[in-house]
Amino acid sequence: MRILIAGCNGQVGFELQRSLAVLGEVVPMDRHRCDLANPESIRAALRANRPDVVVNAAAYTAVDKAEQERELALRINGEGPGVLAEEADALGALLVHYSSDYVFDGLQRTPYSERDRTNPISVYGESKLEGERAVREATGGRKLILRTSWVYGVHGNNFLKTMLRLMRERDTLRVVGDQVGAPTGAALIADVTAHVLSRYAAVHGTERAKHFPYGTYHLAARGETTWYDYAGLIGRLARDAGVRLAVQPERIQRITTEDYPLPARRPVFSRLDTSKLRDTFGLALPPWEDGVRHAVQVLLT
Amino acid sequence: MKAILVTGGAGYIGSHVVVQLLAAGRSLVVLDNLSHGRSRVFDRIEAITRRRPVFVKGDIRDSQGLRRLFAEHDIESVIHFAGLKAVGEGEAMPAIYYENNVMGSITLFREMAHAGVKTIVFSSSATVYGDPGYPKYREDTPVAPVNVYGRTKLMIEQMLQDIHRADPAWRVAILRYFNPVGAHESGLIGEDPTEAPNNLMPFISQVAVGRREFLSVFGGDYPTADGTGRRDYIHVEDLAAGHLAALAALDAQPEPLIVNLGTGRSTSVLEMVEAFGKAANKAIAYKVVARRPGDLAEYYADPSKARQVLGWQATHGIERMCEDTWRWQAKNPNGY
Repeated sequence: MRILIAGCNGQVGFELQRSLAVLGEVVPMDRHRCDLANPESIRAALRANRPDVVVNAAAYTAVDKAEQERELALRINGEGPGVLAEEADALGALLVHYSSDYVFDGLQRTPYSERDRTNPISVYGESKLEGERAVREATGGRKLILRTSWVYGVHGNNFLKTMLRLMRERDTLRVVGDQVGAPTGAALIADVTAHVLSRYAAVHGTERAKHFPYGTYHLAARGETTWYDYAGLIGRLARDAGVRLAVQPERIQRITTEDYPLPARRPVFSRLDTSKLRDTFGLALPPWEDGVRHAVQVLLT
Repeated sequence: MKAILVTGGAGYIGSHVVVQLLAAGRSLVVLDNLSHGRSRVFDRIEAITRRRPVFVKGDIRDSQGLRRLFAEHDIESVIHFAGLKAVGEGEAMPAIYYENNVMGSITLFREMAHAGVKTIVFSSSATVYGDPGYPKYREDTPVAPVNVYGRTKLMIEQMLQDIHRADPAWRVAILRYFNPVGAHESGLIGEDPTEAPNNLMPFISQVAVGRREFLSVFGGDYPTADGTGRRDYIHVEDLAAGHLAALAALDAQPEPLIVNLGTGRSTSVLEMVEAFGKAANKAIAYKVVARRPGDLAEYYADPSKARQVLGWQATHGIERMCEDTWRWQAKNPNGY
């Protein structure tokens, strides 16, 4: 199969280049070759390459900046995926699109299932929801929307890397402790995508492709934590690896969301129920600590 | 890769067979309506095997659902556990039993045929034998079930044999279980009856763990050594291994394979109570009460056909059955 990856140099895109390689021919595209803000660029990229699968790992991810760049965020996260979906549909290609737990308002207390009502509380969340809507409307059905959360990777900027840096540089650290979620590694997302696509590869081009379980799935590591406890684990792992920390993980101060106002609102409760994904594809999702442990090890060597 | 469909795979026996199949590297799709099975069993299965089967929540009576399942998954064979199995309940609500067991199986077989899947291992029961007048049952012992549940099982056996006669491409294995007991050695999966247990072992283990006050022993005046009924208890892990052996033997079996799965030995209720008491290191309170109408004094399997045709025999004894059951119950006093 020929698999086109849009956003190949992002956190997830970088891992996808590795994880999808065994499935066939990977065509990696960064912003220069396929710009989600530019519909013509998207159409040209797909028409020239005629992929069997399009994986959209490109996104506007600056959650706080989005509050001031609403139009750009909506174009990249909202319209862009819709154009990708139209072009993929015309080619009979499967579109895999990543969305976010930020489409929910975080007011539930039980993990969100795919059927729960979306209600984004930030511009970023709205833009991601708009993207889902555009993808669902545009295609004849061959799409997989994977909603994930608290993504970190060894490539690109994220909370994990920021914490490692701050713990080495600063002697005090205050981290929010009242938002709950599951840190999910870009590598895990890429591996799950490969697993799902490998099952798709078995039916692509046959009658069975009609019955592939397309749709929306929640994808997150197992378990839950807060940013505060997550930072604590990162600190302990770094210290165990011999890194000299300016602030010890036990001395990190736990603060509330209100103590640390940011331009964009975050959902307080962000647990995603992943049983639909696990049951449909026969997948085990590892505990969030495993991915963090691995990433910290990679980053510190 | 082609997969094995396990109907009722979230149940007691089904989940143990799922574990052995996953451990053997097989690709599985489990179909269960969760009327008795619990979805939490899949977390336990994942903990044991580090793999998770594809799970479709659905009912064998739903022909559209089955059609979608066979279209979506490339199934090569079916192990069919799905059905209702409480003898007393069957007597009280026969129509429900015929609908679930017989009609459900008809629908399953029809959808299998439509999808071109013609290999099946079916869970049957020694209750199809009825009361032949002697205790050691061979596969050619006359079948004459005396209750609704047994009749549903026999009907399904007969349907499969007729389907095979009409289309010899079918590969059919009919496994007649004696009394399955025990649990996986991890204690993570086991028998978890939804209401009051119908079978001896879970009743004993619930008394041991303090969930029930005492065991009622139905009948102390049978013509047996200690007066209580004797049955052929077989460890669920042995039973599960029998299924894998049957699947392997099926390819070479043009005729339907009908096999007893039992140990060939019988154990009385009081002997089991004593063995369990040793395993759990506590006395199990019991009371001998009147016989249950219809219960036989003793019966057990002649396991020689299974040995010859499947190359399989049961290996676990009563002590192991009790230890494993106790471990499961003690770790999971309220089941899943």
